[in-house]
Amino acid sequence: MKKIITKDWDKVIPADVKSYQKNGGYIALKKVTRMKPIEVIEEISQSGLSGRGGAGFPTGKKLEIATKQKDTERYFICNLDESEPGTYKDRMIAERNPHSLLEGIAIASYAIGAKRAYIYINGNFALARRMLDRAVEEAEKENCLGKGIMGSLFDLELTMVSGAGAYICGEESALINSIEGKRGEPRRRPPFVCECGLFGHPTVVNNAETIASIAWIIKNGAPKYKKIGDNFNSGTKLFCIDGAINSPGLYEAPLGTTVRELIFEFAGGLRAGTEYWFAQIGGSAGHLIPIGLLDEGPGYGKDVKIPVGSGSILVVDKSQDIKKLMLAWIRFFQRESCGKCVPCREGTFRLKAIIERLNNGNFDENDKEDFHKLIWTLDNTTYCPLGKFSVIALKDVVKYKYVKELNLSKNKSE
Amino acid sequence: MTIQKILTKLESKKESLLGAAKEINKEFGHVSPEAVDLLADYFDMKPAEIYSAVSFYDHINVRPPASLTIRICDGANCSLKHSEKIIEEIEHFFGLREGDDFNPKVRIERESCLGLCEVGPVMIVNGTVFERVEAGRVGEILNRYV
Amino acid sequence: MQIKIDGTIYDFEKGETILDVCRRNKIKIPTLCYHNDLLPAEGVCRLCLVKTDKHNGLTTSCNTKATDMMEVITNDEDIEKARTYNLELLWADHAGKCATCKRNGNCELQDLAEDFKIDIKDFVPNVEQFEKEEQLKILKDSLKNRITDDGNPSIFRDNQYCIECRRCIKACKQIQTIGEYGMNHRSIKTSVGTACEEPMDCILCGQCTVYCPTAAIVENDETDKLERFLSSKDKMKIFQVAPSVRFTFGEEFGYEPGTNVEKKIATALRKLGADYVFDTSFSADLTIMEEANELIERIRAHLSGDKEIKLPMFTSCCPSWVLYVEKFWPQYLDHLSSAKSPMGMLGAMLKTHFADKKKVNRQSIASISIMPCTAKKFEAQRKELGRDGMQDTDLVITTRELARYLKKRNIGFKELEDGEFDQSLGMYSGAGVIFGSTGGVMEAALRTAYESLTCDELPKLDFKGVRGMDGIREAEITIPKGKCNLKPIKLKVAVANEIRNAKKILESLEKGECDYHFVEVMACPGGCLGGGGQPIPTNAEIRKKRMVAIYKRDKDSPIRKSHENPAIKKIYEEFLKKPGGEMSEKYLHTYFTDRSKKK
Repeated sequence: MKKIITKDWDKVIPADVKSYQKNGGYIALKKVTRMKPIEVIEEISQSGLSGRGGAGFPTGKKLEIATKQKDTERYFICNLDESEPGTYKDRMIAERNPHSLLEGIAIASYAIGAKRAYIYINGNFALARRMLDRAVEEAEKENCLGKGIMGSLFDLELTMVSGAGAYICGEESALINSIEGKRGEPRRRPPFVCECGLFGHPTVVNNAETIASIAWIIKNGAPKYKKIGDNFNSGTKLFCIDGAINSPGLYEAPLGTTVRELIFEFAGGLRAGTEYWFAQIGGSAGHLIPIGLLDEGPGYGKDVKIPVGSGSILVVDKSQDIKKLMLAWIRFFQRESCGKCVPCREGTFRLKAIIERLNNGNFDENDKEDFHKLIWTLDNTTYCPLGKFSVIALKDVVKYKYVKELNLSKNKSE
Repeated sequence: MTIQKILTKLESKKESLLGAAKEINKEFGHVSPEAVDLLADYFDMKPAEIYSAVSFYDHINVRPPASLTIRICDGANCSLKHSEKIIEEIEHFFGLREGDDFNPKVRIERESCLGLCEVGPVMIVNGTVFERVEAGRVGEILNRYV
Repeated sequence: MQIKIDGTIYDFEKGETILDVCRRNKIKIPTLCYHNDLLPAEGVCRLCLVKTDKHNGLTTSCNTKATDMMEVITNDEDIEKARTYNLELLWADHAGKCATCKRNGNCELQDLAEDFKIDIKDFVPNVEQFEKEEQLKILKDSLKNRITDDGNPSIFRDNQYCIECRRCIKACKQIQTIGEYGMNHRSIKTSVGTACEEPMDCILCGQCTVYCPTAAIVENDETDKLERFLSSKDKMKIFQVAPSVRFTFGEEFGYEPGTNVEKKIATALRKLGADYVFDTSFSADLTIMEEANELIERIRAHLSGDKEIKLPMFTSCCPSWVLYVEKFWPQYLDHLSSAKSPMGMLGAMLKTHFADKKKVNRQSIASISIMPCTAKKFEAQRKELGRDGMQDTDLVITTRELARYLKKRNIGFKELEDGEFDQSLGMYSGAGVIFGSTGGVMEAALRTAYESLTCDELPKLDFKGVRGMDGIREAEITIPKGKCNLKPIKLKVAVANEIRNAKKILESLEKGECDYHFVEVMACPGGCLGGGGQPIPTNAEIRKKRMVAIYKRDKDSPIRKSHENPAIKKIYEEFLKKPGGEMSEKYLHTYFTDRSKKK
């Protein structure tokens, strides 16, 4: 099995810079400091690497936009706020091989001409934070961060910022607001953060998993990376697999690997005595995968049947109560709504109340009408994508008719 | 440790604000009105801006916390592992509803996914994480704290 | 450049939003969080959603710039649905509160709910289907986060009416730079509030009450107190009406902004039981006498090298401005003119000179002011504006409150006959009436100061340089030698409205770069005509109309200088003797207090 991100996890001593270097670490960074920034971006673009946070925006493109800005005070941010339910891949990267993040950050910062970079880390990740702090310290000692990196003219100051408990801060503009000491509310676009981000300067925000692949790409070359994956997406992806399976845990697999392979080959198959109902891929904001889609490979872009999202897979068997699951989803989004726009603040609250009634048997025709209204409102009218995310799974519940109370009558006018 | 001491350790740059508030929260249990004023002075912001920001985040209290805070992950993964049953157990144990904040001693809160799905369901009592909690064990754990 | 909206092509200029183009062309788009005084728009209410050929799905028209050849649809099934559902969500929180609401009949949410025929049943649990406990929980949930604030005399807040549009936050921060409000907490608990939900501690200008689309922030309603005064038989009820109120009050009853309804106000107040109706424009003339005199004395002292005397002199008629200096710039208290505001002066005259003249006991006078301003409620309670434990002004009623009270009493304002103010303390000059506009105090003071310094007649009464709506206006006036044969002076003056502009002047003073002699500051946009107690709605266009009317009234006045007002001459002859004299100092001047936090 092809591994990139987790390849050295069993070999390296986390945060130990010598151990990381012994396993080929910081070679890519050294190479990069002898390249022109544009060549670095070119290499990353060629690789086909795309944002692993969920949106799948081409990483090279993002870096390129930032370099096109007149403002030369630019920032790079590693998004380690990971808080999508069921997802812990980024935390694992930081805990198991923090230097792979630092190296990626340094390379990307070099590429866009940033002298300052930030890691915004989920406030719950105490161990990961410790690992990163130590790794930064050691990397600075080895001249892999700080002034005149590896004998070049490249300086990089890396600052760690811990979040304080807010899911929405994983959204890049909210994350930037949070670093600026504000409420973690998303910003209006345009301008995009690549044009005008942290403190008003061009800023590139990348997910930790994306960053963790960068050094490998530089070291091994874009063509080699592009060869991994399928027609739609290149590279590997981390999957946190959980639920009615034998071996829950974190797995790295090339993009294009089917859900069936992930469940049965990687995660040890279904637990004895359970029957597959559906899997949810991408956390609580993820789509539901009925049995008929098991042979699809999750990925990014318009052409894939299953958007991979954050990459977590929750396998749900037929013994589970889906109404409870719906409540768990909506409770999460209701609590995490930033409260800025009407549909998300009020809509998730009302939707939660309706799903509570669905659970305790007080659900009526009026509720059913409101349920569908709210789904539509959240899907179409919110300020940021959180509204849309909050109803992806609920829409699939309706689509696959998993809850009979929610089924729309064939002829609405009846 | 006084608030001033916490602040003087930090640069008065905006990116230190969240950290400062968390540090104060850790030391004093919450960010008091006095702390809000000091933060406002230190970071050259309006008190309303400070409060507006700190009250946004889960990890910062703007009121004194209960002496016993129990948080239960209610993410979808833990939910499938019957975290709801655990919440019920805890509610029953204290005779208190989750989310109620009228009891100064105990507070039961739902927590968004902590990424500890592998070892779920998880329950956090005053910062200590209990993994793979079973409903039957809830009373035993809580008895250690009351 | 051109844009196609609903099939019709319109011209637009660079920088305009889709909503701007629609509003200009009378294409109706509902909004709640948008106000054109408070740009850029936030786009949080999600009511102004439209479709364009440049965006996927729906987009907000309030903050999306129009681009050349863009095609926009402002109404189709989806848009209608989006607007209706979001309104329903807001309305669900609001249902059933209208009847007792202060903004009933003048509420943007209520208007839209009517336009969109919002049915209150939506999203609100149907009571019959619930267990008792659950109902209680829902009730408790919605009341748990309710916060009311009645900790000041001017402004009352109740966040159960709040729709989180953030207009108050922006008004407070952008116009006044006070930043008293923020968005607090998260998700459904999100609500507008102060730091730590403490009582407001601001300059009480009331702009938040003007921009609030609902009744979440309103003036502290004291119509009950007004009623008590009116129904007490042993009180002599004396009203005074501020200069700007006559040009705005009509708006509450359907008149065009700027219609002068002073004669009807006089009748209305008498109908309510007023014994005397006086005019704050009269005491504005009095203020000018004292303030112009103080300015002249300060300039003279300053020229003679007296370092104790501070220049520039700041006006002190505006109570929010005074509070601003007291709270945030206490080092400049000495710069404020010690002359009381017109309301303060008239109040003092009522309870001294007038009471003695009429041989009535001061205790039995109810002195009630009709003001465009919420901060005047605070000013009236300053202990320095009273004597023997009694306030000179017993009650301040804003323009909006008086209108509300007349409506409550079913007084058909439009049908009232014309009446007159009582002339003894009610006759005013054009200089007194322009107090209602930004630049008015300056112009009035210049007219009097000029003639006092030169002993000549002012050749041209209009000081156009200090008029208008710009944030800061500067002028340099050369005061010639004149008959008095004094050294000619080049007087440098500035006029600022809105605290954000006043702040710039204070900052330049702080840097030692401020060489003005005299600065007028009004906290509200346009001065008192845009005051925090004035009719809702307001915008630049409405304020402009009010302003035009004020200057027209001045132009039409037979007497346009304060010192030529016969009633003013008389009160100096009879009682005050001379500006800045012993009696004036005693009754017409005041002092200020350091109210800063770091005191």
